Amino acid sequence: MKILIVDDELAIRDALGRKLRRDGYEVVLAEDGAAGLRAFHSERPDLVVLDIIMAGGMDGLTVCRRIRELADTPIMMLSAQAITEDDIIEGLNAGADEYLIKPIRLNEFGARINALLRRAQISSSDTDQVYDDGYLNVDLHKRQVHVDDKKVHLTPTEFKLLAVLMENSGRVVPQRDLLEQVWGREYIDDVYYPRVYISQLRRKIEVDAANPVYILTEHRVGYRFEKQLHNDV
Amino acid sequence: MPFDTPITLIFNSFMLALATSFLFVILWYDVRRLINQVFALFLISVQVWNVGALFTEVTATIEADPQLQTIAFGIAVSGFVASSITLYALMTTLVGRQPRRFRFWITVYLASAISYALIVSRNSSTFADSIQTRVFITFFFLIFNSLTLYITWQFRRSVVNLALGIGVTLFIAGQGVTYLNPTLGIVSLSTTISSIGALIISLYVVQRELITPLLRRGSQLEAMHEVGLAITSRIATDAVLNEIAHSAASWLNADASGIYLIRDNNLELVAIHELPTTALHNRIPIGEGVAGRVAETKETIFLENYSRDWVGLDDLPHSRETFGSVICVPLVYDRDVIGVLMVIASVRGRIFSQDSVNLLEMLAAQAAVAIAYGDLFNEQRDLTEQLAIAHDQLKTVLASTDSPVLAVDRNLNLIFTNPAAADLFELDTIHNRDHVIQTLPPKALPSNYREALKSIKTRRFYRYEIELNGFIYLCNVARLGTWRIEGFVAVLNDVTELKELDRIKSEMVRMTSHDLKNPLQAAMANLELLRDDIDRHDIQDEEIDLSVDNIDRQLTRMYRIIGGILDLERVRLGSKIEELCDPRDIIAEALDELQIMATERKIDLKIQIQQDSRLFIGDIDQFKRAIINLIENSIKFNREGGHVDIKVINDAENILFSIADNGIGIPSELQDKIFDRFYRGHQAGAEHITGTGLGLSLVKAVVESHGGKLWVESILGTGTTFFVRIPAVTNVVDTIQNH
Repeated sequence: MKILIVDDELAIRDALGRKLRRDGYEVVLAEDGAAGLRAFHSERPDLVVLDIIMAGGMDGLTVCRRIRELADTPIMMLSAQAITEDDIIEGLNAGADEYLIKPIRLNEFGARINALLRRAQISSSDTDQVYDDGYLNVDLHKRQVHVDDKKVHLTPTEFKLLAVLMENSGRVVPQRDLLEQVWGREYIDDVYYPRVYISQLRRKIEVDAANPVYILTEHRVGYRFEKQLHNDV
Repeated sequence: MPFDTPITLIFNSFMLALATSFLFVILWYDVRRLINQVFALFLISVQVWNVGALFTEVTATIEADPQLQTIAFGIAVSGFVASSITLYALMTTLVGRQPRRFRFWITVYLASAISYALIVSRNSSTFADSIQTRVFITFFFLIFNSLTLYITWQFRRSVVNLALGIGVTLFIAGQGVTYLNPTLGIVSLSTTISSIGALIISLYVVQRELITPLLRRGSQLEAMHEVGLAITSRIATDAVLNEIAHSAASWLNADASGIYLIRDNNLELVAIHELPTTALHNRIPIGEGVAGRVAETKETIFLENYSRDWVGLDDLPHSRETFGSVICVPLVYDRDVIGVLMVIASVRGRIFSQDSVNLLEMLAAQAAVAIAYGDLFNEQRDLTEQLAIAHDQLKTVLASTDSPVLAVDRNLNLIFTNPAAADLFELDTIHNRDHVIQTLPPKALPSNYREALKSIKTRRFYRYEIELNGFIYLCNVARLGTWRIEGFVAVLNDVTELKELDRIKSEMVRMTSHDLKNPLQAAMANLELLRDDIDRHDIQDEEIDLSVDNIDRQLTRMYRIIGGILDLERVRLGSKIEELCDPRDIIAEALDELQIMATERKIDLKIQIQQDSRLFIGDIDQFKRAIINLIENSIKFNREGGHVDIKVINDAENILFSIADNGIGIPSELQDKIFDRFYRGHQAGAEHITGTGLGLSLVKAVVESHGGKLWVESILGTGTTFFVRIPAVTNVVDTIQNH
């Protein structure tokens, strides 16, 4: 497994790198956005760790978007600056799968890296399921989503989330189950993750994200995927 | 038979007929009045006398049976004596000076005189010439006629006029003629003279009792109207009072009058007419004196003779010696006595009649209204003056302030703008009374009227921010009117600079925390790697462990401080999620987090949540953080083995969380400061307690961003209770739909 770490702070880059190497990963380091992108192309990592604020031309968000234009590689964002949920949402909008706020304990960092990789690997569902109602088309096996006949890019996390919900369509998936199945046991208390990702997902697949018809919120319990009749959307 | 007999006969008959007609007229008019009764008796007596005299003359002329002559003479004598008695009675009644048991004595006199004359004359043939008869006649003639003359003389000015005087004199003179000639030779002359006298008296009585009242009644309304006009056209109270006093006295032909008004539960003489000026402002308690009694009972008192009829405290010094007839009427306005009006005749003055009482009562009714209106007017005028002064002051204050101030009525029409507001909105200060929608730019108005109204109704104010001409204003709206909303007043505070400072501060916090977090991240990561290395190389050195632990602790502390600042900033930036929160969940989750800490410190956590606890709208994570901070605080600042009582109660509108400990307490002078950022109580017994000093300021920020209120009650050494009150959801269904 190869992991690319892009951070302009040498001490942090170095420490995170050492930690991941000790955990048995192959690590590539880059000191700014441009170097990060170059390394992404040349090294083809399995996961990217991106710091948001970086001195020099390209910040983490831009790098994230550029990577997403090409690949679904899992991206973990680190930020020292994020304060509000809006900041986090901005990062997720750019295509990140995970958003961590510094400072992070190394053990937690390691655990999250493991979880993210696991999520990306086993995301392709065993069920050979295709959903199509004329507006939304999801092929779980091929990991392809079309909305109104246009291909839509979902991050691995988004896709996994959609898959879990669709496999349980018509039933409410409680928050904790969702966290465990999509993100992993380590995330079981991070209740804001589903909230953020559900809204991301809605923005990508719903006609009107403010009045969702596919992914419905069951207040203080969890979420539910509701199949729509053909041409009813 | 004298030559003039036929003429005398005719004349006497005429007199008799006239007297009889007067008799009927006066009895028909009002038979119940004493004066009329007495007058009727007098006329009957005179007629009896005349008839008796005529009868005597006729029987003598035709030389009838002596017995018959004696009876005729007896009738004449009883009529004669009765006339004297009834004339006296008439005069005393006319001047109003009846002695006690007047009717009784008059009846006794009359009965005894008549029965004596009749009985004696029946039994004695020599009655006519007897000495007995002469003494009898003389006795009554002298006693009653002299009394009558005395009264006439005594009241010659006030009551008795010339006609009455002449009538009485003539009548008595006529009787005297009879007395001078006991042989009855010139009886007819005597009766003629007396008849003329009686006629004059009758005319006087009829005029006084019948014609004058009738005439007066006609002019009464007109007079009333005039007096009313005179009173009500004046506004200043003193002038009104003097006018009333003057009118009352002159109208009733009284000698003096006075008006008492109620002041501090006493009656004060406030206006006088022909009373000594020293009496002015004399006070008399309610219930005492004639005036006081009238004020107490609300009923008129009419005295014919003050010194004789009034038993009680004197109204004024020397009133017993100087007051004659007195009428005192209450001045009643809106069922309350506001004072009394007293009209006084002097001792030698007139005697008031029931008519006078009626008149005075009518006058009093109008006077009371005039006085009450005068008072009301004065109060109104004073109030208006004060209002005008207050208005001017307020206007000056508002004009000189730099903050724009606007007021609208309840229909949202502008009713006031100060110069600052006029400048800001380019309005005309004086003339603009249009609707705010037409006069103010839309962005100056609240975006949500319903919410604004609700806030004003429940919290009495509403606050919103507006941006105008590049400035930011904080607009505070409050209601006008105490009971119902009469309108609204808005004060705009320029907060542009504050906003800018706030923005810079937030930016600083962001930058600083970023600049701090990266080194901290590096240090923490390296420390963890170091610890890992120590483990891997199996280095067993207490010194190294101690150093690493210390570094870790300090880094953790730094991390928590930065975390605290950012938490606070997050709440302050206001991007909170709004969802339905259940206090039960919040308390339960808070306990999950804190139970270990409480158990370690041997602190007992007691929970009490109202059965039908309500929900509220808020960011559940933020709110949970706030409640955790409070409970954590109560655990930290408690003594070992203490307890923390957590309660949630609610009423129709609010949910109240209270977190009480029995710990060291907070000195009262510090209670305001504990919610300030970075403040940590440096009090005895709390030195060992660690913390960032941000916990309570975060609680405050969260509670306030939820529209709630946070406060503390604490007694040093006994314990501290924190209270959080937030608005509850009133209609759950609506709220879920809106969110």
